[in-house]
Amino acid sequence: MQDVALIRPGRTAETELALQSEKSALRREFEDRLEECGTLAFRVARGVVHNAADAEDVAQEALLRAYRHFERLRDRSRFRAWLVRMTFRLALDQTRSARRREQRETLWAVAVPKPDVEAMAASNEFGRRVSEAMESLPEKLRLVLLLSSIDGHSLEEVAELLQIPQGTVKSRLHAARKRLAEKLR
Amino acid sequence: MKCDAYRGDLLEAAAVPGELKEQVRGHVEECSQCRAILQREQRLFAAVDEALRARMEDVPRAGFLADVRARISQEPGPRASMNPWWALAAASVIVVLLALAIPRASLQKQPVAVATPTISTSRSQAKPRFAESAGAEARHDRGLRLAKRQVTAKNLDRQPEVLVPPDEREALAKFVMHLRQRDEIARALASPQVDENSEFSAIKPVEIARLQLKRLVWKSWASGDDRQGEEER
Repeated sequence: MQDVALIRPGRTAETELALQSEKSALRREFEDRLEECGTLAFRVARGVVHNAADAEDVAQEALLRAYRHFERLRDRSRFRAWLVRMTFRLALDQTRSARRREQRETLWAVAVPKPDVEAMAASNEFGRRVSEAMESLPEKLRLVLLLSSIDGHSLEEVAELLQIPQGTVKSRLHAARKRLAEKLR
Repeated sequence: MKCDAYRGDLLEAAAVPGELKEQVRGHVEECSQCRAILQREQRLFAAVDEALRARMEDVPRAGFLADVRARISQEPGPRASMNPWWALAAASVIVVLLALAIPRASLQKQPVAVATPTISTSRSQAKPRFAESAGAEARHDRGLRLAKRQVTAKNLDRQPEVLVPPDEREALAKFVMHLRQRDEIARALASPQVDENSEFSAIKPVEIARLQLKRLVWKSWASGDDRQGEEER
């Protein structure tokens, strides 16, 4: 069903046209940003969820939300930081709800034989363990770790993305790697 | 015992790539066990970094951005929604203003009711006879101005609203503009400007005040019949 909106025909047509052109300009600006940040949103989501298809869904939802509230963002230079946080939060929500669903289903389902772990490549197995270890990290540490792994972002870049001091990024990254290593030992 | 003292430093050194402390480096060179631990930890951190990098190198499929654009095109547009905190702040300001305005309004009401028995509707009319001071008069005028403004605002709100799909809004705006132009033409036709050179401009409009209107007088039917008889003869 098509969305409809209430408008006043009595309102001057010029105002209506001006509004339309303003919206078009906003849309163009957002599409430029989409080109620039679409992959970043996907990668942030991929760092949290378990497969690429889910990551795409999450990133798409985050970008759509960003578009809906784009007008609200006064400082456009903070768009990347805003998008990263929104995507990260959505991805966490998605993972949690997926886990709950899985738990509900396993209560009723007959035990399905697990895939042969031995047959998996060693790297895949290690990757899975890293994923599990990451899930147990506090959100703040996890986000810093993810962002520093994307495109080899430097501490400065991560600090800029999260709008926090560089020293904070450094200490969080250090703590995250140490905790991760503890769980993998 | 000596190795245990260096254990923490070794793990720290493996987590943060860089130069080892002088003492730790000296111990690692001497102790093969600690050297093995350091190497194992360094391998672990390298593997973690590698696994994270591999995961983060995934790219979305080719049509991902096109799909996002398609979904965006179905959206009505960025919404001008208010930040909830701003909305809360605005609401609290309104409440405070109302709380201040209501007692003042009730205080103002009493002297006006007592001192000015009639309410003047325009500023040019006579001043309230019993107004005690200039302050009361100013309050009275301010009240009238506020009332006028409220009436205007209400009229604006009463403009009709229609439901329009997003893709037809622009067309409707153009249509309204077109109607307005036609309206202006119709108005111009209904009240044309007088051309001074035209012959019709010489005709003066009828002055109602100078017209002499006689009162109708009743004449009986009989007198009419008599006249008819006279004519037949």
